[in-house]
Amino acid sequence: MLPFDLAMMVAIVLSIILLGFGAVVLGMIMTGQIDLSDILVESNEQGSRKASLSRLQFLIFSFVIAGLYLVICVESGTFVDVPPGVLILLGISGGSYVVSKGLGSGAHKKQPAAMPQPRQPAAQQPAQRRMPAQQQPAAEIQQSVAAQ
Amino acid sequence: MNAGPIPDLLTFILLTWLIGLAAVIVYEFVRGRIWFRGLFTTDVDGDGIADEFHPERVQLLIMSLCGIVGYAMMTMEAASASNATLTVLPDIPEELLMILGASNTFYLSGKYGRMLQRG
Repeated sequence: MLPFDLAMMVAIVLSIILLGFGAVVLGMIMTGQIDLSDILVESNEQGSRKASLSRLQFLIFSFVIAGLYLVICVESGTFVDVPPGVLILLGISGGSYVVSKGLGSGAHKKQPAAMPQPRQPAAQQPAQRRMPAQQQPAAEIQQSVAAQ
Repeated sequence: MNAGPIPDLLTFILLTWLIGLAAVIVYEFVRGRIWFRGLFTTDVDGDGIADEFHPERVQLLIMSLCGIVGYAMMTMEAASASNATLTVLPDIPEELLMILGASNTFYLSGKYGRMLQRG
């Protein structure tokens, strides 16, 4: 068997395996075994479910660019170059998602810190004030003795 | 060395799979099985009723969809117009990058401003 024929056979077998995985994933999504209902959900300050637009944008951009890249790679038969503009676009999308998530988690952390600190019991305060006043007559006596 | 019809077959199968996946996601979206409530609004007091509407989110979605659809169409046109197969993805115009960057900045600024307003 020629090396090229062997390489073609390996490529065909690998392609069948990968496409099989893809078909299984698609079938599981269609039958509901893979649940996509929370694919866009981020919990908000109240803990309820809320769709995130930055997640949707990240999903759309990744999906489209990866799909285009895959198709062009298969057509050309080799890995194609990715221009800097596409990387910047993915960076904008991913960065926006990360910052949005950070802002959301920052809003969650602020709420416990807003609780007021407990006040000290009022009974302790007058006793603390009395001590310096009681000490003053003793200090005056000592000063008068020293002056004599 | 000629790979025969295998690359064309793979391209066809991959495109079918990608379109099928996109169709399933859009179908789940239309049926309402994918949760998209709160995409443009916020329920501040947690009573289940939207209290705030965010226009910056609407503009982000519109700009993002227009931008990515335009880029996909540009890539498909470049692939069909050239006699030889593409060896590099088409570069994104700088104007489009600036528009999308400004759109995302506007969205994040609005989100940050509302977070400060709520304390």
